[in-house]
Amino acid sequence: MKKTILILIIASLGWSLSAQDTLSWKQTLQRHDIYFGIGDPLFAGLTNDRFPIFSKCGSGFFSKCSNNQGPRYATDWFSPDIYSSGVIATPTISIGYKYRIVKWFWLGGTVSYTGFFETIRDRVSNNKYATLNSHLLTVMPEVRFSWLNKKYVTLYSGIGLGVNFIFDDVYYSENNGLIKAGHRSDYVGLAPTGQLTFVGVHVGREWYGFTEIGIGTRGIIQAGFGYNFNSKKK
Amino acid sequence: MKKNILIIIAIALVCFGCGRERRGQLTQRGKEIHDSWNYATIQIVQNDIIPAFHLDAWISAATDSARNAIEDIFFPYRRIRQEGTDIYTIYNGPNKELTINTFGKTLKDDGSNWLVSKHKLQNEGYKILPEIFYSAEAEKIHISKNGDQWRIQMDSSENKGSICHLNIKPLENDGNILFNTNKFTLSGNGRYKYAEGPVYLSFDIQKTILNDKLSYTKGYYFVDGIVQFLAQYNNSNDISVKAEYLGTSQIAITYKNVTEYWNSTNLW
Repeated sequence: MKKTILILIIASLGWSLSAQDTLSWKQTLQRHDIYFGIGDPLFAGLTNDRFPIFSKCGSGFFSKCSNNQGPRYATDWFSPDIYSSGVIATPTISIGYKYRIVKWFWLGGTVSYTGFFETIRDRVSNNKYATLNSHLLTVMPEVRFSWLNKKYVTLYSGIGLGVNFIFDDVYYSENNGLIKAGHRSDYVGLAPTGQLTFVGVHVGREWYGFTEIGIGTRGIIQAGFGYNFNSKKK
Repeated sequence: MKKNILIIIAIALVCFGCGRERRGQLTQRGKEIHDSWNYATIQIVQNDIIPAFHLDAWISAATDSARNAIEDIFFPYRRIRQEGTDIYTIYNGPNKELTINTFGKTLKDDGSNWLVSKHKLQNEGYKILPEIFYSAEAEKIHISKNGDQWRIQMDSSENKGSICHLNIKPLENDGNILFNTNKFTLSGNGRYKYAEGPVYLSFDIQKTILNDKLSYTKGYYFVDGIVQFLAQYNNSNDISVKAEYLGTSQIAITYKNVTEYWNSTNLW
């Protein structure tokens, strides 16, 4: 019985110390975080089928040259003789907000945009045949776990799950000779997506810069800046 | 802060110019059309016509030993069987490859008119070939003497819609043996029909083709000649292609008014 009472007293002391420590992080660490970041579009391109992994020679990341390119038919001779002059992708641009609920746990979300712009040309004349543009809008709630919380440096990891809204924007030129020239915009649909941040680092107190390494729609590497505010002071 | 700005710029620059497909050679579509015709024609000559001439030598051989020698040289893995009056069949193992009706004449006789019927299906992978290649009983060729040349004729009704009117002339004969080597000339015109579509590929040999000797490492060579092609399909625009053979290593393909030179070792 005496041992039990002693344990309870020690535990209550620890609780009060913890309470004092909780109060101190609210005084020294910011709770609101808004940020702007730029990441690579690799994952966004792969999931949106703009960067095929395996493809014929000269296209895609892992180009595979092969004489066996699959079944071909004589009717293929009459399909448009065209080629892609390249896919230009914007970086993934993100704007986000997070709220620090407790010292190490944040909750918030990010809105991102990635654009893909591709021109198709007639192989012989090199005239523009069509442009195939895609716009990817990502909305993603996220959580962040900051496991090092210093005054000027924060290290963290995070995870998010959200959706991609995909819009296709196609323009056929008058040179194509087959499809009526003009502009067509289509909302293609939405698809699930996510972001896993392996490690991120914030450097700065109110205004800060950050870099993240992870995998997901926001990019494998992301960097940017942000602003922390609403720090409570005694 | 400056470092982060530099990282942002680096990431942005990486993203441009991703996934560029090479334009490649401009006449590759025309080359593909030529290759289809070239391969199909070579197969007809190699598998149907030249064996008929070698059979002619076998039939005309004066002695059994001469006949055996011809069989050893030109039919090393085949069997020849006479299966009726004037009808001979060439076997590959248990399978019939060709049946040839000589109608009582040799190919050296005036008025000869042989009928060569192919039985063999040819699996050519992903090559684009006329419909006659995908049916075991759909290739019937008439060979008849025409002066110092031989007329090769395919009728539409016997060949799934493909036709040809060619003249072939062997350049190196050895007495009884016509086509002692595979050096010959080819002239004439025709039209191949492809099952898909259907697509029709007309061809006209505007300058006599010269085929050089067979090289087992490189295949047949058309080393001289000009062929004009016209591919047609429904209401699509016709496709015109011209091929000119420029020796053993080069072929010029003209497609959409653009002429490019291709290495003929990679004809197909």
